[in-house]
Amino acid sequence: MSAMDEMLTNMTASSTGVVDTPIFSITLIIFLIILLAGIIYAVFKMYENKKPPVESIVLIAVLTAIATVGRIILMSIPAVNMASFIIIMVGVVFGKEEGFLVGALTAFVSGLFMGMGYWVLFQMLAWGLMGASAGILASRFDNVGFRIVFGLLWGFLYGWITDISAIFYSGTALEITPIIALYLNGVSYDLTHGVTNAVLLVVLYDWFKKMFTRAKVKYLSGHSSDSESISLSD
Amino acid sequence: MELTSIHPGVYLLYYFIMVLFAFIFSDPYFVVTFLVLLLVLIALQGVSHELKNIMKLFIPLSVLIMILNPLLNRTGAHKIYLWSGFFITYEAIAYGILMSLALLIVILVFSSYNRSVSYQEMLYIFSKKLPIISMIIVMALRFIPLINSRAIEVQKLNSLKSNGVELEGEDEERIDVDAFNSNINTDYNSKLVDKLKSNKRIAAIIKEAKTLGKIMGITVSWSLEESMFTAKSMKARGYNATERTSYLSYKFSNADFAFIALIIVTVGIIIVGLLHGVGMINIYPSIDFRFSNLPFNIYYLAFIVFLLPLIYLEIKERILWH
Repeated sequence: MSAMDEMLTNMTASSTGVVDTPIFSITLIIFLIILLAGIIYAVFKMYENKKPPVESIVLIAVLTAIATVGRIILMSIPAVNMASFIIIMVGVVFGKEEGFLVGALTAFVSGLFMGMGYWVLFQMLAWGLMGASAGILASRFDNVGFRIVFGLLWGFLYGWITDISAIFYSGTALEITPIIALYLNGVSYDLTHGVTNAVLLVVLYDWFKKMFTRAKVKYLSGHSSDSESISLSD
Repeated sequence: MELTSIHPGVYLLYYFIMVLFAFIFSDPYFVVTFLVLLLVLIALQGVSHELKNIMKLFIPLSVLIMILNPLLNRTGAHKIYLWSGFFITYEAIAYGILMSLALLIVILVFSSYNRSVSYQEMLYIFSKKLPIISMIIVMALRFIPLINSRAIEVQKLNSLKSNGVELEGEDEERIDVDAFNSNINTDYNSKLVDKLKSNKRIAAIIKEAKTLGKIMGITVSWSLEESMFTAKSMKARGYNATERTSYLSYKFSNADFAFIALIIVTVGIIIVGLLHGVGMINIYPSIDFRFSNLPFNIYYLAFIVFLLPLIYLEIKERILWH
């Protein structure tokens, strides 16, 4: 215990030595928030510039709504939500861009229900990256072990990314102690979140994959922005 | 309904600056003034349900920060010995308290923001730059109650089915809930799973979760199917044929220009003050704050004026209504 204490004191001393000036952390916060908003804006703009067909727009809207409902209906149980699972499944089936969009928009829309704040930006990034990484690693998802590891890992990564938003509350310099306090506060939460993800990914993966693949094949294939005309034979 | 309507863009700017100030100021006089004026504003606007929920999370976190900071952080010149060899520092305690206050202020600023700017107004700002994304958000907001009502319907059906009530109707039309049961993959038989299943409480939880998963899955597939009717309908009615316009429209009024002018003047003065070091204190290595240093200067006055306009608007509205 005392050894750990000493280590932490040393760490604090060294870290305050580097970033002692208050201006440093303030510019860092502003820079970070602008960077985050910029990344999310860029992805959104990329999607806008593609001129997506109506089907794609409606599909993303409905998937976002489903994920938001999956978060809101389980609001009474802390840390347990189905939104992460749905976002991962969207990433796996529809691809990384749709995964990011659905993840980011889920955070935004549920933010409209549960109260907006700048932490919503971090949630948008965390869930967006969750969906995008699921899209990138989609080929490995048939392995059960990989799914468990992925779900657990993202439970923690989500917590760590969103906790960054709370680190910068201090008015002066970056400190190691509040970070430790925050992350200690969050361990059980993240673990529950991760376990929920892993269980859902094991139990419901096949069914949801079938469902989403069906929707994808039925609505998205064969539609491009060029063939927007309405065929009367429908 | 607001009598004096302020452009949502102005609100956005104002609250953004407020959040930055919550980060920057560390002088206790400034922080306490900030907190008091914000509390007055929120009391006028009305305490929301969400704020109460957030406070439940905030209180343990702030207590943890206040306790852990002096225990883990030993930098600081003023040592307070609790017993021989074990000390905490005055600076670390002050830092923990100030940090919790800053956290509280940020939460309150956003709570007040949610009261001032409705989501339609916020989407109005976005819809100029990101029309498709804001379209998706509006559609998602409409789908949520729809999905909710579908989930309730599926749940009713499920409870009827599990109570052994046979449903009327043709065989083809009947939604076969049992067929969906086979979709949920629980065939991972191992010793661990069997052991878990033998526990009564866990078995009940598993059963509950299974039902929930089933309801969710049916609702999802139903909603995916139905959403395509929406897409077809939108297409048929000529979506994307021309540029869309917004239902809401805002124009800059005199009140907005006055508000912006006030923000620019006061923030300018405050920034000059900040460059002179007013409003910020050094905590480490040695705290340089004394209660006798009363901040009665132009910068403090500008800070108060900066926080007043919304309180003024709220009070004016009350006087006009009653």
